[in-house]
Amino acid sequence: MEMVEVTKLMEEYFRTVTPEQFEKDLLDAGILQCPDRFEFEVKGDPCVFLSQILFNDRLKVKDVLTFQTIDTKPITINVLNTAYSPYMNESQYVLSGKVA
Amino acid sequence: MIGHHGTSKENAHSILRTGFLKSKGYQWFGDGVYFFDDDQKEARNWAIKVKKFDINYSVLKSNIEVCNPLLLHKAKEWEEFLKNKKMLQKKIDKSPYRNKEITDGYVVEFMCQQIYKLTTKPVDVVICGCKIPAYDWAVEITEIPRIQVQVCVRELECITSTEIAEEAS
Repeated sequence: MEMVEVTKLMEEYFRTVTPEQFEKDLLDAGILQCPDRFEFEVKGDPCVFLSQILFNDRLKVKDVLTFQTIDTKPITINVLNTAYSPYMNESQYVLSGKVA
Repeated sequence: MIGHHGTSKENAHSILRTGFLKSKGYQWFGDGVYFFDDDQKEARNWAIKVKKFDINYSVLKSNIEVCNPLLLHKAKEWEEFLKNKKMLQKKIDKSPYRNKEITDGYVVEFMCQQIYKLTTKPVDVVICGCKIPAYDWAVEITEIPRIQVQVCVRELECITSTEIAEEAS
């Protein structure tokens, strides 16, 4: 289906959907169950990790809950929901490979 | 089209016996079974480097019959997707859930569900281009980003055959 046609369908949907139906549709798509943020526990140098994820334009760091310099203790980085990426695992892999 | 799916040996053999299961929830672009578009190497990288199956990895090769795809890998289509995402966010912002932020995956899932409800024709496959992080050594020698074309199969009947393309020895 052409995306232009999809947009026309969705415009009509948003114009006519009732609040009750919209809430049901949000539930069906899993949007209301989606948490507002993800937390990743990272081992290694947080500076390196942050530079890697900031370099990737899909990822946005909201804040760092605990920040420590290079040592073996894990840190927790709080990432915006919109920043979710399965490649976070790959970043962690690269990081742990560099600082191990 | 041909799709490659990276996984563990155990999962691969289970898939061959009983078929694929759809991933649901926090998915890259909606619920479904994920493949790389005719790219065995990316599927191998995924299995080994991202999922860390290492010596236990396997790559499956499937034939996928596409009837009603949602194509998001070209600029024109991506711009339309952004329009849809903005409309959805605007509608959410006017609802009691106004502070809810949404990922692209949920937007795609929402759109596919509405397309089915409004047209009674399900979106069977979503195709999307993804820019992925370069390996650290690659960053030093090139500015060209790695791009993948990923295929999310929403309707499992589209997968007409599956075989093992390679696995760790």
